[in-house]
Amino acid sequence: MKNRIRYLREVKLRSSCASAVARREDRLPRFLDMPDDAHDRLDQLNVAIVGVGSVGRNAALHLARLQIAGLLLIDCGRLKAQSVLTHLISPADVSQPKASNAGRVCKRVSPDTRVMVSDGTVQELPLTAFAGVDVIFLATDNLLAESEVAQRAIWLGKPLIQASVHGATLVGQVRCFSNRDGQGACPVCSFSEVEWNHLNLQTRFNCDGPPMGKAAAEITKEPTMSTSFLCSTAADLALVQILRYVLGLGAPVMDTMLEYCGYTHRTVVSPLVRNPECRCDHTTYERAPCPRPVPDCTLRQFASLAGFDGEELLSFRVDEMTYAELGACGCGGSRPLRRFVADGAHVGRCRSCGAPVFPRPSDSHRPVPRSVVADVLDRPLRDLGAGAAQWLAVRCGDRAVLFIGPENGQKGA
Amino acid sequence: MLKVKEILPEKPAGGLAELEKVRLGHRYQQMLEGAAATCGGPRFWRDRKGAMTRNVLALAEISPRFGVQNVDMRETLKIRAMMRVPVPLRPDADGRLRVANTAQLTLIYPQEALRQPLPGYSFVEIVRPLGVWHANCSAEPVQLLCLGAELPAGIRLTNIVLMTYGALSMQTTMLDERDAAGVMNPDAARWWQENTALTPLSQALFLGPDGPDDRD
Repeated sequence: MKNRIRYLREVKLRSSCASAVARREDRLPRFLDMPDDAHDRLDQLNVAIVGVGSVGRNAALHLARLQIAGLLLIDCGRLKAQSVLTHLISPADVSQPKASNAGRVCKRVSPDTRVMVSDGTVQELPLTAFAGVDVIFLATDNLLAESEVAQRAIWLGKPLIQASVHGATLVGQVRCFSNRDGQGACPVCSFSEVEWNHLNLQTRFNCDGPPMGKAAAEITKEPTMSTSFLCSTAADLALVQILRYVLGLGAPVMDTMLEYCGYTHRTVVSPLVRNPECRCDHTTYERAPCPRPVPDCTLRQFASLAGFDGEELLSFRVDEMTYAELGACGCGGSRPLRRFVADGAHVGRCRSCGAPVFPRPSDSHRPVPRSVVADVLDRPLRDLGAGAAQWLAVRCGDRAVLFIGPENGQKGA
Repeated sequence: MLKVKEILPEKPAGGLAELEKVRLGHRYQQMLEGAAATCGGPRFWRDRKGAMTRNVLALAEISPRFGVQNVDMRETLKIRAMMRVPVPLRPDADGRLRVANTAQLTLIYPQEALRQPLPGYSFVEIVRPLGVWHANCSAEPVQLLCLGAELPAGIRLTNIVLMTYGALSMQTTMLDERDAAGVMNPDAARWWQENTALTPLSQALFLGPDGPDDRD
């Protein structure tokens, strides 16, 4: 079964598309309390947008007009005929993937912005996809994606700004989650039973192929009922919050919710508070430099670098891999494996029956506790089947440390 | 040989909704404390694992057909258990269905199951017997029991135990191999479509006494 990890693709302009480009300085006002390095901050700003629909597309275009350093656009959907009603697109764009389509427009607006796109789901991206971004912008009504992005943003300690609309009440909402230390609120903190039921109803699995790997979820949801201008209002409000956050303008916006109501033309700002019963893991991974490529290091070295020498209740999460203690083949019985395997991969063939050997879920671990790998702690991960690992997290209770391989070139490590 | 009648704790009046009122016996209490001593992960997950495990152990206390052998709470929650339930096995050379009377299984509950629905085959592996002949159980080498196309986020582990009993005893089963919701062994699904008269393998309730048609 194929590994479902998907990677981002960079949008390139054809030379014939090159056009005259203005400089940001030509229009950007001198904001009150604007820091002296405002342009530098924008020059270095990288934003990921999850959900490039009627709200996210507007936000992407606004960010392109700010000529920021990088944009990551992620959306698994395609533009439909009805999208013309809420998205700033023309009928000629219908049937194109949302992320790629928006990516091309953003690149044309700001050729110096590095635009990366993924036309798949956010779950298919490696955790490291967000490691180099400064802000994650969330604009999806796919609750599974919302929960996944919320979790990744907490782990990586990335600010998350979420924009949404409620068409019938003319409400646009922007929530800013700082994720500074895992102690603040996240989008899942406010999930009620209604949201959990929606999430369960939205998610479907395709049972194709052998069930040895990770199934891809399919989302079936009702379309967002809204108007193009309410969607753009929400995106505009979100951009104000992003700009205020990045340039430090006015009162702090993090861990607040901004709500605009079109019936009253009132805005309300309220604090966001963590729900202690939240189902997300509210642990922000500390980042530590990885001295060598991840596969060249041993688990003991990582434990030591993380400051967990002597700790017994440790666990390791090695990329998206599972540590398999035992496998099974057509002969019956169990065979020792003691190695990391990718989701759904078989681990060679049985010498007796020739059938593929599969890891047994009963004896597979992700994350893997230290006690399970005690006898291989000093072997390089490359020798344990993790030659392709790009990151590793070591956890002890409520503290976890993340290592991302230097070959990934992610900033902020 | 001296026959010892097993005395089970009294079932709580509220049934499964009041499992927390069941007092664990010495063995299960020790098992819970032993597993809790090596429980890993963030605090909320450790708390959840402790609560879920306690409920499964309470269920084992009051059920005449379910016993827990081992609990692993280090990371993913894994519970090895024996279930006294008829388990259909691959028919013999004469085409006669064989039935085992016990299943050894592993209940697997990963942390992500709290916040996202997972495919129905993510939670139960039938370790023994091999050769399970069931539409909703993948054939060896790895026998995963599918309890539905997808199970909701945060599903209770005790519900998974009950669903497992219903599936193995074939009180609830999906036999349509054209429907992707749960069929893991199309050959078995077709065989069972032609032999529906044999289902269910038992009508006994999970918490009730054995039925007259229970096979031993």
